[in-house]
Amino acid sequence: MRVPLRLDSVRRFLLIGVPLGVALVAVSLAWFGPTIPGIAGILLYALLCELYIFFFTLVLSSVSATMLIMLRRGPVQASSLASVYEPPEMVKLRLDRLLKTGFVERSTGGFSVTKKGERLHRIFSGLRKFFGHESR
Amino acid sequence: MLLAIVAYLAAHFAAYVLVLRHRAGLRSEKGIFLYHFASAVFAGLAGVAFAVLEPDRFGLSGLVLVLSLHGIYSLSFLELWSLAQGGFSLSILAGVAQAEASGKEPDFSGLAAIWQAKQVDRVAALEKLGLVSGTDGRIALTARGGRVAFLLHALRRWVEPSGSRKG
Repeated sequence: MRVPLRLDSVRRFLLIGVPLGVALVAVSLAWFGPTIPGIAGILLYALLCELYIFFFTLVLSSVSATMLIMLRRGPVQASSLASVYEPPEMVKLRLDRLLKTGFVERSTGGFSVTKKGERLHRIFSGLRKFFGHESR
Repeated sequence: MLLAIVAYLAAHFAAYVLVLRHRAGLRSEKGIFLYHFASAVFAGLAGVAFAVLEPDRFGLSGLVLVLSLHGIYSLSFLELWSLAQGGFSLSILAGVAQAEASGKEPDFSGLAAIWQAKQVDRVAALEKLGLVSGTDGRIALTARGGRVAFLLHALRRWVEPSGSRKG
């Protein structure tokens, strides 16, 4: 699944991972039934999938990961490191991504949040309150 | 046994929700990570004990079940915790939503300032983890940082062999 399909990395992985998982559940339950070995195999597969998704989204999207990879070429001035990601450029990059993924849309006079974006915003505002991030 | 581990994880989560999330110690990355790591070590040791005492009924597959279930729970929790804490895209979304609600333009310069602050925090965090060191205004990888960077680079090449990705 490393062919250049028109899907993002997570969806490409799920395209293979989900059918494999379903097959594993069927085989595991058929062979072992709902016993400890049967369920252990299924849960281990689920954990490995989650770990894989976590690591590859980390290396693809993490700015810290990108900084570390960049530093492999050699030491850099602290100011150069910061300028790799110019703040206005990063805002534009992320805003473009939000537009592309349908969370924000252009409207007369600027930008507005779509229904999908509002849902996400509500969920994460709730999570921020729940985890106590807002009081920091 | 499955019920026992599920009940343990439910109690771990309930303890966080009802009591511990209001504690300052568990509002830091280190604190919340240690809360889950310590629990996973405890669950793992309990799993090993059961595997030794009940090799037929529990055994190695029981240990795998305990660690996998705890791993799924902790990884999901920590991912949500981390995302809710500092997602820059979420900050931009919040900025657009607030501006729309007040009938104003989003404050992009304010968002850029958030990004700038994140950059400083990032370098400081990498220094604290011992992955980079700074001298005379220059930042360089430490030996540990070099190993981590190598692994990250290899993983990125595996996941996206053609692309160069920014941000």
